[in-house]
Amino acid sequence: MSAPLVEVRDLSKTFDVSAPWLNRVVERKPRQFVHAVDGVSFAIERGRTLALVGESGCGKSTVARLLVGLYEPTRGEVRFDGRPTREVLASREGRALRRRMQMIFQDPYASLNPRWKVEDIIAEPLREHGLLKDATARRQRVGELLQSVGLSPADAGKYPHQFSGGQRQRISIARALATQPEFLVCDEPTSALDVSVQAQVLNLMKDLQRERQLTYLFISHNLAVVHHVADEVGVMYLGRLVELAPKRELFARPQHPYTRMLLDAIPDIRMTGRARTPVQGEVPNPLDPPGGCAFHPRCPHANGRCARERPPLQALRGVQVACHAVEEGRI
Amino acid sequence: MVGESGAGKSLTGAAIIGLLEPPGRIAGGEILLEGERIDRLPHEAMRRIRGRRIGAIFQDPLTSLNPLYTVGRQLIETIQTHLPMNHAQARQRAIQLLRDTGIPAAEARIDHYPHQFSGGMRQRVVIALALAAEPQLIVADEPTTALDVSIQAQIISLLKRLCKEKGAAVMLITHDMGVIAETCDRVAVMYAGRMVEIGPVHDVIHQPAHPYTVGLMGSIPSIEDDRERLSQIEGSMPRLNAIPPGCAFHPRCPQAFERCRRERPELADTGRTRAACWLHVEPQRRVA
Repeated sequence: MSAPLVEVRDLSKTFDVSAPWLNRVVERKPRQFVHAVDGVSFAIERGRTLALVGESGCGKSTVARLLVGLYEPTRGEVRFDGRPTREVLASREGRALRRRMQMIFQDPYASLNPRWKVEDIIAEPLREHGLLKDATARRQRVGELLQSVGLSPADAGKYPHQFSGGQRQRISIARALATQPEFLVCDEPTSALDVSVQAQVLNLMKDLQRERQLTYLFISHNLAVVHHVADEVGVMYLGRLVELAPKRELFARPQHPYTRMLLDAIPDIRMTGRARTPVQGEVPNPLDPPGGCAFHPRCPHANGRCARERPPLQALRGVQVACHAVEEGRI
Repeated sequence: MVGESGAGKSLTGAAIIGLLEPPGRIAGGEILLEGERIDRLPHEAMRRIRGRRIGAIFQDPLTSLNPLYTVGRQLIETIQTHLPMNHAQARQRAIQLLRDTGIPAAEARIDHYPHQFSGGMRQRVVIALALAAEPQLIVADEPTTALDVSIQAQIISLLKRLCKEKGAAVMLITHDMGVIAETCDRVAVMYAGRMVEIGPVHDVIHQPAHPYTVGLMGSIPSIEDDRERLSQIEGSMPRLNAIPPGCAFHPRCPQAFERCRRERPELADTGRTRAACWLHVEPQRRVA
């Protein structure tokens, strides 16, 4: 096994959501914190895809932002190619590192500047990193990038509004590829798209990964999409990883009760009559998460220990899972 | 009713509820509710049907509820508008409706404001509101799209159970074929403003007759298959102001032939489903 390209250890991010100072003093409100990401660890090997799934508010997008350096971690570290990104980004080599990791955002309508031509949008990373100084060479490169995502070099002179949602997402992919990165963080890249267009974009991302040996961190709430793209899957619940397993393992033998619940909640599109148990309850308020295992109020297997003691993520039954019931062999 | 964005499914729903936004208008055709035409009714008459005989559920529960009134006040107002009840009776009925939709401690929750509910609970309130006057038809436009997957399953089964109990028919509008497979008896597939296929859900999913439905089904990732690539429909749906002549799907259709470019096919029987496609008139044209 080669050394992982991306390694995350005990990553945590806490946001201060306290009321303003004066309100705290006058109304005697305490300071309040949201532990958006709490002690997450994983590694991604070169050329592989790790998918993070979870419901809204579980912290998956915060992990994405921490990885590319858009947020500073409160605790823990991200290592890229063996070196801690925080130090490298602060040093003179920071730019070189940024070139090697790029991000694709969810909303192709919000992530492209409507006043810029496609050419300028895609060439921005090239200019920013001083990669191709010659304007003709840059234009040539933009044309190649457009072709690699299935658009035409002639599209370079158009504005984003002249494209459909799927085509815009192709433009964001072309922009992300401009610096020839090794690692792409994709935050819900297809959730704003229609299914037939989603299929085009997912196929394109797979082709690009094969051609360019790309490593992906793929964030999604859609387990069917994750099943299609991922090699490994991490399931997040209220800021913590509750299960981390190879894709086949996770879908064939989900361990954590939350993973089982998520799998059960997927509509059965082939109408195979797969047995399903109804999901109970809702995600609790992240401001006031339950003690012990955060999932215990919704868990059919919870007991006293689950309410008291937080289960660590540990190797059990060939996967990583954070659950007392699995550890004790109760389920 | 299923289709991609811009296919015209929400507009069809809005036309039935009588909430087409101008300059939108019904240019042709008719809408019948229990055999009675409702598309030409005066404003006031339609207002009485809406809520009483047709209930509506929309995608975003926050925009369907007034943030300034308690959910109880909104429920009671709807009930009293349509049913002959005094305030106390209407309040009792409102509590019962909230209880039916699975809201815990309904007696206390009735006096809460929408912002005090979570997204899933809010959508339950909207369902209670739609069912308040026991309508015969519920038009639900993307009722679960804004919700998380685990909540989505809860809301779908709730909607299904309540409408069955109360004997209401449901027109469910969604882009999510999974939701349709779980909930519906029949499905209509829309493309570029027209219905291209309609039939029993099982048949449309397993033996789709229209090439667009075939492509749509193939492009949906599923946890039950292990394909390396999803089948994809090339291109994208035309803008509604530039719909191609003939069959609107022909520029993207792998099966298109001469007639498809010229003449528009109408819905016709194909055996199991009804589809608007020339292939079923000229089956010898089908390419493998």
